[in-house]
Amino acid sequence: MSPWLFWPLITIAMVVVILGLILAAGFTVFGERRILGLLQNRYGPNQAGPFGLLQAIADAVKLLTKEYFLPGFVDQKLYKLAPVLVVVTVLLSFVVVPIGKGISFAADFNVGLLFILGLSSLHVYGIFLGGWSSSTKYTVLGSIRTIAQLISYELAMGVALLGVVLLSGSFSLEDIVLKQDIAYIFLQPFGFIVFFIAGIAETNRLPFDLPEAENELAAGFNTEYGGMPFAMFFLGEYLGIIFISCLTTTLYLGGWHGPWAESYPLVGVFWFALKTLALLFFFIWMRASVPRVRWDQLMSFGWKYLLPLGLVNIIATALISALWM
Amino acid sequence: MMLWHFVFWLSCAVAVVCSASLLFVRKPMHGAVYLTTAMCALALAFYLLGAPFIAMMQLILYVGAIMVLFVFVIMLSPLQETFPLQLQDRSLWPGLILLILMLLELGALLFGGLQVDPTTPQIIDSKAVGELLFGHYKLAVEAISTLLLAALVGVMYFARHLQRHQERKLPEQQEAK
Amino acid sequence: MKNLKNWVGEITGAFSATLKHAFAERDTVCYPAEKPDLPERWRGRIILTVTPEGEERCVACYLCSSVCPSSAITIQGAEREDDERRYAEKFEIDFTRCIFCGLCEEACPTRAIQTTNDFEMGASSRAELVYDKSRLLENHTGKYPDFDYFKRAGVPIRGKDVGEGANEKPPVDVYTLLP
Repeated sequence: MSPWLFWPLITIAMVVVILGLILAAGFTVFGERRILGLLQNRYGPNQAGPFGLLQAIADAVKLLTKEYFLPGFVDQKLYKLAPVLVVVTVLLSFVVVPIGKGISFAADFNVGLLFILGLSSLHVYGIFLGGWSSSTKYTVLGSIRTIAQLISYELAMGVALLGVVLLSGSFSLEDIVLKQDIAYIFLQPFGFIVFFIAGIAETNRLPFDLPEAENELAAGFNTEYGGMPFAMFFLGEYLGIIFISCLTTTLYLGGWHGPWAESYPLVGVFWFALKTLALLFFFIWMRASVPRVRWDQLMSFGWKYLLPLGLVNIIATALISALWM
Repeated sequence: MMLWHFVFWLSCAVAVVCSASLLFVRKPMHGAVYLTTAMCALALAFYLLGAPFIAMMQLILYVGAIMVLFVFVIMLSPLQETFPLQLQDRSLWPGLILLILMLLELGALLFGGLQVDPTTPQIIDSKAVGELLFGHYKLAVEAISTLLLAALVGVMYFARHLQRHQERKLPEQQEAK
Repeated sequence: MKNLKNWVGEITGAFSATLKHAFAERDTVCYPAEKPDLPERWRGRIILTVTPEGEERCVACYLCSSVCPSSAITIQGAEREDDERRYAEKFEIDFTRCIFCGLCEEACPTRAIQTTNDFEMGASSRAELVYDKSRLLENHTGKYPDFDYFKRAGVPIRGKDVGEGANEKPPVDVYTLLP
């Protein structure tokens, strides 16, 4: 394809995917509110449109039309940079996720997995710069917690991913999916557990939502944000959940593999979406079920249980693959 | 292709400008952010030169681990204390000499016919890096990991020692009050 | 190992407990579509009531405004020309200040001021929430259909002298009790 056709097409595809992802994030918020309601003997938003489906759009319009308020005491440049960083890094991460056989932007990127890890560390920059630049006690406490959480869980996550890399022999997500005749959750159960717990911690979700801990820190790192910048933080959080679900699907649940997925790629997309939605439901179900941990518990759990479990998993995987393969 | 040339030189320029602005910022946190940006630009340059693994390691290790620790220290330190550079200070001289030496080396490299061509890179993938690390440089890797282990044990010892020390000291302080 | 068993038990217990609640009955009420069944003694919008004969019960005694903890009630009392019965010339309740504690209702000797079980008082401006007498006064007796203060109290008004009220004995001439 000539570059004059290639780049406009890519741009259009990117715009469509970004809009789709933002909509998906909005509907994840809506779905979360409905499912939390379901699990807590409530209804949740059911007024706007059929089943309240238009609630996501109503929320978006409300947040977009709010006043853009810049508090006087903030560090202006970083305050404006932080929400953008949060959204952009997550959106960029989706580039390497294959959602069907040959359907992706750059799933054959040869260091895709490392790319995701690098972007997730940049994502955390967005969160703690937001907290730091607001220069309030609550936000700075939230930022410090973010960093502490990052250095305890990023390591465990990387170590868990190494098991997958050892089995598949590649950092590219497409290769990893192609190699999964048996979903890696059966070959790597401990790796899956470590990765998923670290993933929850990465997305700052309950039970690890210490950076925003509503009942301790007002709203944590985004206390001083409102209107559009707050919407971007919100979007970043929910895109993060979707992304971790997609990644878990890709790495451990066999990606788009399923009946008839080999011959019809669109069926593969369906399987992928189904697995991702199941994981999203699990995220929300967990929010309804599990209380928040204390932050020393979080640190000690990360370092004393999760990291050793991940290391043992790597050694066992390496030994078994060396002996059998 | 022209595009990759453009991206490469742009990322190089960003890296240089960000590193230079590090010298002139007032707030330490801004400096950290500039440094992070420089690291990211450097990672991009590495990638375009044909070293994807190193590029991503640059992102994960420098941006994701080392800079985060810097930022952690900056956050926990008081904001107002700044230390202006004293050129009269004699302890600065070795550093300055090193800096001049490095600049000379850089000049020699630049004018001595350095070949940088991002269009036809020799791709060094993660497998090649791994083979080199655990083949040719095995001894160095083992030595470094032993050193890190020693550092880890040392830090644990100090932490525990300090804790015990403080616990012993605490009742005395209360009595003094 | 025992710890691990405990942890797994706790976590699965938590998850199954929330899942059980998905099939339980809803506790919330879809409010505007489905009106809540409020008790009669609910402390909602405050009204002024009238006697069974249709005369204003309020005698402008200022007890409600003095007992009001948030000073929401403003009264200006006056006397009627013909029978010298007191009434409130001006009666205002500022519902932006009212906390619906119901103390005014308890304080009222003539049972004129009463709370109702209506709470839908939304307004688009603060001025709308200051109710004057025309909006407070309602043409019914409220919770006490038979109550008329003047029929029971020893206060002379038109058509009833002292001692002529219901369950009332004629006044005692205290001088006859002297030894």
